[in-house]
Amino acid sequence: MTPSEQAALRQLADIPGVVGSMVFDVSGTVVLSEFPAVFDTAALAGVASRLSADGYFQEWMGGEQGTLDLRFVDGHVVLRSLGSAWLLVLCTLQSNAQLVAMSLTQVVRRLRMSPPAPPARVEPAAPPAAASPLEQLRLIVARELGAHSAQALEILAAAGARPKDLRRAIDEIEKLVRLFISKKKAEEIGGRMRAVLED
Amino acid sequence: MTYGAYALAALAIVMMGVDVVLAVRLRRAIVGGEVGQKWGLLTMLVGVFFVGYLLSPLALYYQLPAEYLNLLVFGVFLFGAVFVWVVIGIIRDTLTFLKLVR
Repeated sequence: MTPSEQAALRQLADIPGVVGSMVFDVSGTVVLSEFPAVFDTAALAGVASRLSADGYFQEWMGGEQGTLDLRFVDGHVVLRSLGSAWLLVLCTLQSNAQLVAMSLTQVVRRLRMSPPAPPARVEPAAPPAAASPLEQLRLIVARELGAHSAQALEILAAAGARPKDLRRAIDEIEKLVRLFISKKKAEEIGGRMRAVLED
Repeated sequence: MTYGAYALAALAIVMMGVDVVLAVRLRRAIVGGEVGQKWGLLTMLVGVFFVGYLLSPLALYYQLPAEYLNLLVFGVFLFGAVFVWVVIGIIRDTLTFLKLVR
């Protein structure tokens, strides 16, 4: 975290109606945060982790132009892609949307000029090298299936740690995805999971 | 007798209308995959049936000639058979995945 990056988030916090903001990378790690102390940091980290693990989120927010506006009854969340990370801004209903949008354009530019996360951390497809095959498979499932990963994670949890058991679990997950999610996704996820086992 | 037939047609239309709503809702809830595709086909068939059901009182009212009525009946039989075939496919896929088949 550099002073200029933190200053960029502080600039956002000065806008009336902006409650706080944070930057998180593809591994779900919060790399910058400017939220009032009343906010639970673990909860914010949880939000970052869940969003970054969601396949649809990654799809929608991929590239440099990704934008997502979430409107709730008592608040408004704006997400902007920073290329290899995302900026999340929490606003109240009283915030001026145009002013927030203008400031976001500036802040996003400043943050992009100094990427918040080292490149090694933001590689989307590579699970940590030291992780066990089971952990790597879990990571792939969580990233690829996002909100629909619960059943597949259960299959992995029930499987043993032996390669034979994991291979069987991969077959089951591939079948689950083919039947209930998408044939194309099934081929993708099956291929990636088998590659982990072969490594 | 005729009133009985109209009453049955009305009841069938109401029930099929409910089926259309349920099928479309479930279609929206299903993410996709092979089961999603089959459910899409099923929803389409439910729609076809519903249109046929809506037209059935008219066939009665205008006293459709027997040859056309036969065509309609056997058409319904054919679509019904396709419907059952798709349902069996969905149930077989689901049971096979859940390992509930011998």
